[in-house]
Amino acid sequence: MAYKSNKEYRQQIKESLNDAFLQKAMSNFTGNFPKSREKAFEGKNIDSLIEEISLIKKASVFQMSELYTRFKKIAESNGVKVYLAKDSHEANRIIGSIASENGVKNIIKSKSMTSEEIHLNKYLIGEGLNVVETDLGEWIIQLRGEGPSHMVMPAIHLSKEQVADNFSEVTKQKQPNDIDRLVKVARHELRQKFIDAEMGITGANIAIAETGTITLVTNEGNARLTSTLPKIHVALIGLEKLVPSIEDALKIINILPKNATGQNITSYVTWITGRNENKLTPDGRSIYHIVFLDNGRSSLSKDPVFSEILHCIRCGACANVCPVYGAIGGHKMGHTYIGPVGLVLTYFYHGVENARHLVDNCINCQACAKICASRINLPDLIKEVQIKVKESDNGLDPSKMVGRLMKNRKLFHSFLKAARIGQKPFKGDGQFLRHLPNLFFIKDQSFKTLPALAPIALRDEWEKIAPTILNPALKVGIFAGCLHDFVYPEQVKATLHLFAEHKIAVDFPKGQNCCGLPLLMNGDKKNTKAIVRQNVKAFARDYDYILTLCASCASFLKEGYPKLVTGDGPVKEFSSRIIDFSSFLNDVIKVDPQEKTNKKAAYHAPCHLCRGLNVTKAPRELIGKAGYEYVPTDTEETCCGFGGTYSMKFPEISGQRMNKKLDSAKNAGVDVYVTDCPGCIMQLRGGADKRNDSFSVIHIAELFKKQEKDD
Amino acid sequence: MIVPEFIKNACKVSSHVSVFENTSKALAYISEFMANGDYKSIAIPDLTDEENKTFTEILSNQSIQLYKSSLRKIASNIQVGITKAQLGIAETGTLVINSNNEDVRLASMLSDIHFALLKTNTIVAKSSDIVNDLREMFKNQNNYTAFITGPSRTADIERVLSIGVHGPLELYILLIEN
Ligand code: SF4
Ligand code: SF4
Repeated sequence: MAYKSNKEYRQQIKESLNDAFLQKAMSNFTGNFPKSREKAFEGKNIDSLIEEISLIKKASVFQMSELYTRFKKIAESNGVKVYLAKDSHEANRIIGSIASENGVKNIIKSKSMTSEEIHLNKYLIGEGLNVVETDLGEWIIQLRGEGPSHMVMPAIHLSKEQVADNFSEVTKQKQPNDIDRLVKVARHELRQKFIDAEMGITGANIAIAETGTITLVTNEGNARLTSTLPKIHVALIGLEKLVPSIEDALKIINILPKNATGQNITSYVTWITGRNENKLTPDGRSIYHIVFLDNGRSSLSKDPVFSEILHCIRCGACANVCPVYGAIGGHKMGHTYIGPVGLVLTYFYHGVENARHLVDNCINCQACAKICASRINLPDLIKEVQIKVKESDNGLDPSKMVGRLMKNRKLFHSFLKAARIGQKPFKGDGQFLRHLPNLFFIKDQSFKTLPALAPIALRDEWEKIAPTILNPALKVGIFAGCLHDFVYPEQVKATLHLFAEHKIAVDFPKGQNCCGLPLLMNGDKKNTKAIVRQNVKAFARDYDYILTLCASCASFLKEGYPKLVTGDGPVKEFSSRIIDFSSFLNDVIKVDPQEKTNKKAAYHAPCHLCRGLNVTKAPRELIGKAGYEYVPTDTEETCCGFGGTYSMKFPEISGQRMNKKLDSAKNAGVDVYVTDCPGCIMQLRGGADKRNDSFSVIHIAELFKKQEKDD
Repeated sequence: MIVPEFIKNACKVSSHVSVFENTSKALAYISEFMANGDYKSIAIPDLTDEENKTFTEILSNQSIQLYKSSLRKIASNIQVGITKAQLGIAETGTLVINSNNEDVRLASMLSDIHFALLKTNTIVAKSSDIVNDLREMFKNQNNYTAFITGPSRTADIERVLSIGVHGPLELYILLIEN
């Protein structure tokens, strides 16, 4: 549905957050999924399997129209009628006329997201036809008049009690709240529908151009019945499902169920070529039509940025790991296609009106990109859609003003300093953060306390505190990022003695600005690029490393900059010198173990460190080296819900995610909750403070703070 | 190694697997199964005439209806179905059943209990080993090939696994050694 405002959308979100069953279902599901997936891929090289899929899909999408021509030719020589529908309207009309020309009254369907995309059922029912979904989950939501809340498990948001109510109504007798019983009710009710139907509509997971074969991947067996019992079979297929060869299809089948549900393979994989035997027709063969759907796919396939979204094989895994999906479920995270991929597809298949506000609902945690079966860079595409949506807005965008302000570093920094004077004291009433680009968005942050700006910014103190090193072994430039410069300078200061001890020269170039990520998150590419230039210029000195204690800055400076400003020598060179704090301390300095404490520490892996930069070992080793006992927790790599401006736009989700993290640290009974990103610290420390948790939230650097003698 | 691997993986997805010296012994096993379960009807669309004869003899002391074709007419009434699998894939415990024949499809889809006969020497290690077989099959003007791995299943209600939603409730794989 289209949300009129962020406020209206948030209202809807609150409903999901208050739905106790949904919350339980989501947390069980998202908690179990990673383990079952890992098991399914045991002994296999996931990365190389994913790489293969990504290459196959890339090549296929690139030659989509040729593949269509090849498919059509061979399928038609086999007696199949093949159509290409340019949009939903045309696809619906084609399928409607196949039905009317053949005197069809009853239609059965097996699961097809493509048919959901074009709202086929609604159309056919409007034409006076009986349409029955036969996938159990799809049938349930059809009975309830709902859309799917997951691409693979459409009824995941419902309880057995709700299903029993619907089944009682259909069968006109009370059905028990027993899942096995309910499944048998569906078997019995639907069996007769299969027998009565004159037409069966399926989708297809794959269409193989070389042989004109379609492939259906199911567990229930309903697609087999749908394509066998009625005399007419119509397959509705998105053009992007075409691949050149059988080899390609087998590779997709090898990964799809594993990534989707952690199953090695589904119960059924059905390969249909040509018109198969069907004793109901005069010539003894099925009447078989294939409708390919374009609906924007052809032009998408030529888009240099967005063609990637057509590489999707609809495994649904991106939703399974998305913290936003886990918080609110599918109905509130997509129009028809849901989850991370749904945020992008909604814009292209269902228009800007349906995508506005919805597409802002991404914390940029990178979890979806990491799990994607086809290695689609979903967070970047979501970002690009946000930009497109903003561009289509005529109204004044406050974030643009922020962009202009931030681009002017001196003005921006004096603005911050002026803000400091006006702010109220840290632990008092009504504390608030006058901070950075969020300047104009701070609202509804009651789930956490917010820090104050530091009395003296790091940049203003630097001359006084910088260690003097003669004949240094290494030269390092510190990139502080806004949070370490203006809010938490003590986290940087905690490490300065280490530089002296290891004879490392350390410098703070004053020309540095914000890393620019918050601006890009607001869709302001132009001003972000200007900031990139400023920072690259500021660090054009002979530093061996550019060190930052902020995981988000590190990942953006290292991975984001060269992507944003492509083919630029100085930018590449700048990015290649970026290093995060944990890697620097553990792998470059190789810091010595400190004396053991008897304290326990849990670790929160910042999204931008563990997924953005693939740094996972160093911080955990450092906890041990700092003399703390590292206690693993199950939510270690899930997002804390901060996401910069995200926590201002979607405070309810942000707070819920934060509480899950804090709960796991609490249950682990630790003394400190350690992380290496000041953004995560702002979120988690603020939350722990508000909740009166007994552990403290600190930066990993602070574990190495020089102890005062009388401490 | 391939056969034990096949058996292990098929069992993991709730298929029942047994090994027989020859088809007659497998058919005798089915007969016993029918007697124990008090089943009255069985579809046998792709048994050869000879196998058919053997089976009829084995079943002679039971009153069981055999259906060879036109299964549509008894669609809601197929208790047990026997079909042959052309290939097996060890890595996933999968049967490959060429089911161009409508009755073969119906026997393996509509029956409550599905028996599949598979020769052990047709089992391959992984799906990529049968690319050429598939290519041969799909070259035909029409082809309907099924990979079947375990009974029909769903987890659509509360993600609880439940067996036998639309297809067979149970899958018996009878491996034939020679
Ligand atoms: S980046 Fe994270 S929050 Fe955004 S869509 Fe992907 S998984 Fe969800
Ligand atoms: S975007 Fe990737 S993870 Fe998401 S459904 Fe598509 S293939 Fe699967």
